[in-house]
Amino acid sequence: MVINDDLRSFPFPFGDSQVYKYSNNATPLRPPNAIELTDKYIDEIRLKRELLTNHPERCYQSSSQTLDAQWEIVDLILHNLVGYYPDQFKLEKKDEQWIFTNLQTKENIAFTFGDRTTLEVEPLDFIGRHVQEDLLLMMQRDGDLFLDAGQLCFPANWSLFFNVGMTFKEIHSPIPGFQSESLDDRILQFLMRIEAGTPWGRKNWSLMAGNKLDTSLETFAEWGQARKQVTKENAGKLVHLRVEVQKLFRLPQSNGILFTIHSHMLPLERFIQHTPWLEQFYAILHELPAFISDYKGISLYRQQVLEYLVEEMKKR
Amino acid sequence: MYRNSTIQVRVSNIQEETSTIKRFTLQAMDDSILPSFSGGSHITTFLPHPSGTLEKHYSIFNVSGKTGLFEIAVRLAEDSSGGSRYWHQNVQVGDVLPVSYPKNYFPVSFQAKHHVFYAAGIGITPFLSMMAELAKKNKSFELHYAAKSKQQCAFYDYLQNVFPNQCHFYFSNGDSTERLSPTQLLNHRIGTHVYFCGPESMIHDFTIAAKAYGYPSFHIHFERFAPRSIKEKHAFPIKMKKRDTELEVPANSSLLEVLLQNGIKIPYSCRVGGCGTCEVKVVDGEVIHFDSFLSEEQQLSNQTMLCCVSRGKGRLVLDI
Amino acid sequence: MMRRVKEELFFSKGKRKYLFCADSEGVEALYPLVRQAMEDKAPFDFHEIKHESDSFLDLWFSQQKMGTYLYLSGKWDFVHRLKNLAIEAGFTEYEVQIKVIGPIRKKVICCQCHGVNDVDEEMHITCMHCGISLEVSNHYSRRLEAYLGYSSIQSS
Repeated sequence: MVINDDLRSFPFPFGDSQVYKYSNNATPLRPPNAIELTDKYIDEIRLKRELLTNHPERCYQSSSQTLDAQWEIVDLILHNLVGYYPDQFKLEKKDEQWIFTNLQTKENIAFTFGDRTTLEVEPLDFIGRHVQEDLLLMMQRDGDLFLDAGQLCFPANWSLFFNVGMTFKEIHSPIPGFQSESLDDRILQFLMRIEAGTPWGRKNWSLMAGNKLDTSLETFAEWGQARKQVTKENAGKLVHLRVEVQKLFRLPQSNGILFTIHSHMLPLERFIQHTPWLEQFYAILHELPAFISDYKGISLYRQQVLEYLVEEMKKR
Repeated sequence: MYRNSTIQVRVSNIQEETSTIKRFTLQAMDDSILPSFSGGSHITTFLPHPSGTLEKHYSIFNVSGKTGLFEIAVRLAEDSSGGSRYWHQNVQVGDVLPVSYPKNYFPVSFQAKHHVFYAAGIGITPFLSMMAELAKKNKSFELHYAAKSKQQCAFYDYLQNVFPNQCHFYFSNGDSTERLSPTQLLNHRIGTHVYFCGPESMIHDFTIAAKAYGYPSFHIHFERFAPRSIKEKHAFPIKMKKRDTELEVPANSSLLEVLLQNGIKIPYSCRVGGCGTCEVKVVDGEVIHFDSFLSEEQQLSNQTMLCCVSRGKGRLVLDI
Repeated sequence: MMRRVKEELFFSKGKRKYLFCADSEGVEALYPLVRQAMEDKAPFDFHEIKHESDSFLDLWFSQQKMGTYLYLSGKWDFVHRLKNLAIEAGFTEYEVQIKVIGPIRKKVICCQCHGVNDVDEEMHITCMHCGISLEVSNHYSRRLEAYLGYSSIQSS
């Protein structure tokens, strides 16, 4: 079998399990890089900037007390970029005078670190325009975690505008079953004990009818309709496996947590080329409890996808 | 064994603050800077010791004014288990040792309208960084600091100099007329958060008083670096359900130590019941909780425990 | 914070002082609590608020010491205004209980256009700004003081 580039770089989300289970499936992040560049970099950066220009309220939110933490994020991400991708990014520093060069977008940006007025947009908004990841900042205040700022262009059906300012548990309260066995408490406690120098990573998957990355709650009426068009015949091309690679970093100065989300999409027909993956995915989708299927927005076309997968298994 | 990342640091200065307290300045190995940290942060230091690596926790601060450094203050304890004696007698300028990244289990409240710090003796150390952070953010705060005498009062000159309007000192040798007392808690305006750091008895007295005056727990913060003194530690047997094995935890060991000695890889971090990393599920038995991580509800459930400090009242069956 | 406004007030024992604060409609609901404070021999202030200004109330709240406990009772607009003043002065959700007399005003934010809709108890509305059908959820934002309205197509 030939594994093409899109498959090789695609983050396999299922581990070795045959059933889906809510859990804190985070593992220590190695290497500790907040950012990943793929060959879709330029396209996705362009798309992000378009969305930020046309829908600023939807894609960027921050509260005023987050500026220090935003600079910490700029520091962390710029050093990750030049450290892991030295051919594509340069950073020159003379005291607080920083010059950042993005060789792919052919941009040179000079600013004074820590001085908001030397950037056109807020620090988090600035750095987010150079990475494919969505960036969320959770501040730890008064014994709880609050989503206090974020740049979110590729949400999986949620609203940054509505959720900003909310606690971790408030944000996740609509997820069915999340509160059972106090899973929300444990994950909150886990997040609050994340330490600087020891970042964590986890993956989250869902299915999408269509291939849009910007599936915001606000535009559901535009992209949600594709769910009704899925058939056994077109599922391989229309339905995509969407995997979010989520990474968590403690910011030691502000005591906040940076949460980066890189959303990857692959048409089902590409993903299932590898027969063990096809079989495993079928098993998981078949066993998926109805309430999770509902929450992930799969229920309307799950049957069609399962039929498609059965046909494919017969061919192997 | 799983352990979080560490940083190598070099001791660049040692300063005698009082006859029993020394301040150590730690800097990065190359010309880089150490990570910034939030008010109330501490580090774990790893010291060589005949019986293995000694892990000790110290609040970090920066009174020398240069950024990118960690400073810690170590009081030579009479009954030192080795940590403070090692720092005082063995550590020299130029020595290199591993330390953890900054961690913060004692942050300042965000929504407080006013912050009041109560320190006794070496308990002053977490407040140094907390006050620096609040001053930078133009927040309202005050410090009440008790020591044996002006000479035994670490950072007296620094505090008088930098926070002249916020500091109140109390000396038990008679240098000052007033004694530090929990009744001072009656004076604080609505919206105040109080922070206690000092000997166990001081934290206990102030916490009890604050609750009696009607302070919600939400407004009361304290930090202890030593595990709560356990009046009587008894040995207790455990059964590990998944392994179907029994072990005995002796009176002078923690459950975590016994598990680790027997090759059971329990993740852990702080070892003083503060971070929650070493939580294990309890199937049967009654737990005596000594941690400050689990909520009261979680503790009362008897279904979980932090094995670094908490113990069994008799036999425990654990889900490991 | 303080969303359980429909629940009954209870006496929070062991506080050093109690503030009872009501409009003319809310006074009665506080009587049993005042009686308990008197039985406990705890100091208290009882204020029926008529035309007091924000600055007067802010001063009154701000001068309170830690250990003070506040009860608010009255119509929605009244308790909403006093709650915000109390929080501004430093009271937290652990030091305040609220009783709303009469209807509760509820705001719903449209998931599509972010427009704000005022509702009473209904679960299905049409957004007055963009016309989409919304199902009122219990997803609540304290920042916006509003509930999220999901597109009815989505929730069906």
